[in-house]
Amino acid sequence: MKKKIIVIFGIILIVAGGIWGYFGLFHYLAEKNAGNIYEDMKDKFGVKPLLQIPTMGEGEPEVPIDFASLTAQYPDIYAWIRVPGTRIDYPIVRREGDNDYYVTHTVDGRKRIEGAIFTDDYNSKDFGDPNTVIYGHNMKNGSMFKALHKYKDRQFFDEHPEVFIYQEGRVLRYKVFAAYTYDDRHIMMSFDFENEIIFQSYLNSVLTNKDMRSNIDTTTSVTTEDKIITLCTCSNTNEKERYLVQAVLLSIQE
Amino acid sequence: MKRNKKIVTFFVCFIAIIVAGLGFWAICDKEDFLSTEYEDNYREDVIVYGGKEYQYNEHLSNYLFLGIDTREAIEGNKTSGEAGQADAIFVISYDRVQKTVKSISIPRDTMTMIHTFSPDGVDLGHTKNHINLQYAFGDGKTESCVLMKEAVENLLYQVPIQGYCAINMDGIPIIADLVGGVDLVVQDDSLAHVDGKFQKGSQVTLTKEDAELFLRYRDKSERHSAITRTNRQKVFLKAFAETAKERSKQDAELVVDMYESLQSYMVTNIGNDVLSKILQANYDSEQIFSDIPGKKVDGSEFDEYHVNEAELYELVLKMFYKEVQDDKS
Repeated sequence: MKKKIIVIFGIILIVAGGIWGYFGLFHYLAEKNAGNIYEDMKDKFGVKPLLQIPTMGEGEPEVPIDFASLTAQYPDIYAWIRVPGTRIDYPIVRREGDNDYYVTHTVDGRKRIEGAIFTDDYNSKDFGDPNTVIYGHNMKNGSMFKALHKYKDRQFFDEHPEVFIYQEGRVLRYKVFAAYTYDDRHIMMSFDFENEIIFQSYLNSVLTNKDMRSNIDTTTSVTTEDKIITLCTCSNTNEKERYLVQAVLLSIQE
Repeated sequence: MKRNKKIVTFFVCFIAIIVAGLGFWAICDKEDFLSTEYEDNYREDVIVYGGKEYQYNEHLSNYLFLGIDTREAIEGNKTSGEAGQADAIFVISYDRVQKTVKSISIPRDTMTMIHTFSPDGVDLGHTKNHINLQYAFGDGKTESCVLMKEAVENLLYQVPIQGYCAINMDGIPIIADLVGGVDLVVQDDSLAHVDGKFQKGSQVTLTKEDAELFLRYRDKSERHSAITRTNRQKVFLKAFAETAKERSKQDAELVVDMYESLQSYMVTNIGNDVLSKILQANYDSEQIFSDIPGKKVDGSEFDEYHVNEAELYELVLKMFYKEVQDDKS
């Protein structure tokens, strides 16, 4: 009888261990391969890598992405973001009516932990809003928006101020002016940026943020006339916090 | 009986597996669990600069020293009282382990965020203005000192300041007298036209009367003359500290005497024991006097000093932080 009980417990342990192991392996592989789909996409669609920081000028902009064939296959892709000096080189998507979709799905609609780089439908697709918030996961393997955390280093912050957003026939050039940890409130739902007074007081609160962990470039002038983007990812320490990198639009070439 | 037991055991097994399965399903369905990655070895108190890790140097005690001028009228600003303004602003950082001191001098025209109030005391929030005005928005006593302390902490990226000591400039000649005059070498010609003995390079002993002139004189017609004056104040402070240090070796009561004589000219929360320690400390030769990095700008009405934030960040790191030694080996 005793023997039987031992055997039964043994079976329970093995089954439980097997389930743990399976999920562990699944989780490990999901982490390890996070973001690979975007690398494959870059190869498949011939996205030209960034060799040097483009100079903005007159005339036809050089767009290294074939949006026509990309959007034919993935209709939610409407822009592409590049942050020189980091691995950030991804399509930006937006799903009308389901802002949570790309938290858990890659651009090809598969359920994956890395999700996609996306914006909410509270923002327009032309980056003409006072503040456009772009989200991306903080993946352990360094993919997606993990690299934003590099901006915690003031030297990196000072030396890598460029952000580029590409769209069909246009290039938007941004300059990073703030990088800091913030709470997890939904930014677009918390501030009415269309209201100039609110936008101004929001900018003031960002620009006067002063401590050794918040990097703010006070030499860049940012006013309510400007358009900014907020790159948002998870904090490394606290699930109630987000790490934000904010950049101001300098020029559009189209 | 035997069969019953068997059934019970199988039933227990079945339940256990179901529960385990549900547990996994619950954990894995929580998206946050899967997508938010926390660094196991991340430390809240560590900051990274140029790829290196730094931590606040816990051995430091920082004190704010203010030279207050109540004679010079506050130019064109409506403040709540006649508190005077802070013309000499120094942060002295004392290393309790190394027994060394170093300091940062803050030009009085430094443009930074200050906390403002209406004349009847209504909080008007923070605005960018000359740091020396901050003192005037208080009561000229503790309140003013606390406001100054907060403005300076903010300027220095929230470096904590443990104590403050505001001395009315009228009190300075008294302590100069108490140490029997202060010997120094004149650094510039800014006073040469007032008194011939203050030629650049000449050796002088400042007495009660001279000290006053040396510390307070400023030619208002000349732009940025406050900076020249701050430079003289620094020379004086260093010379004074050296003289006082020498004297206190012979006269143990000196600091107490100074403290006593300055009582009516001074607002402080620093005890004379601490002042004595600061006076006895050695100077950190490299960093004895650092300046807030920045440039002089001619404002529309008044002189302004604009801080170079990137350089100030580095200075704060150098003065108040130390590199984290990797002990993981």
